[in-house]
Amino acid sequence: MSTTTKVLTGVWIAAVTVAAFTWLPPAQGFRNPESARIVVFHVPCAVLTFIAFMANALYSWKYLRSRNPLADAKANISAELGMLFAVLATVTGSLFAMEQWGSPWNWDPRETSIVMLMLVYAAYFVLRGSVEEKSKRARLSAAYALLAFPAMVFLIWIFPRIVESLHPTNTLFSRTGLDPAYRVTLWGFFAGLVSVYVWMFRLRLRVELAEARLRERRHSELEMEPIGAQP
Amino acid sequence: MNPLVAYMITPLLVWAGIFGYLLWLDMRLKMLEKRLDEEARQ
Repeated sequence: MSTTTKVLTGVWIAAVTVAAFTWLPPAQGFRNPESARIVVFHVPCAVLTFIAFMANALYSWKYLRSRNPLADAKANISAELGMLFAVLATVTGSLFAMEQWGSPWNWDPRETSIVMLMLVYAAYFVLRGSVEEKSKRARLSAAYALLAFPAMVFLIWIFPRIVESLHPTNTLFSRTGLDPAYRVTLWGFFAGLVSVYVWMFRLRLRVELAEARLRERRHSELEMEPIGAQP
Repeated sequence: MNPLVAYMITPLLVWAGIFGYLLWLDMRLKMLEKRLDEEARQ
């Protein structure tokens, strides 16, 4: 990612943040109309959580087809980013819940489902950490990710719709769901976050590749040692 | 919590989360590259 793109991303996110406080009107129908601005930051984090976990399943499927370690690394990175955005969505959601519903946690279906989702992907990291052999770890975690994917779709898209929820449904993609100013700001912030996601993904991949090079170098040095130790 | 604080703190948390992670990744990458360079020189 070029420096210009990084600078533009930072400027864009800053501009949308300022717009959320200066340009957006307080939303009527909320307990505290000012707190509706939180939605602009909370919802994009939740949408990116879904995208990242979907990418995790796609790269896992790609790994099982190609057995390419790069696809496994990308699946792991996607799960990490999904977890980061899930935590951000939960924290910002709690702040909104505190203002709107009077308590930071209400065991609402969406709140429950994001906790379950984080547990499902925490188990993915535990699985990866518990297997030493690289190819076995990649194979097992890819299979787990493909099993976790339908659970993720159920928890995000189906479960909150079949149980009564404090969260509204079908607001993001319907014409009447959101005030136009809120829609523009929300999707503007989402666009900025997508750019940050790509930036994070590429940087994390470079870290992963550098770690792999270091491991390989150490491994080859260890193999060389007995020969070097001979008189 | 003061409502004003609640909605002011939200973007700050998101900013801290994403840019904190980016900063950590950048520092880690620089450290790894330095170590790789040092080992290559040795």
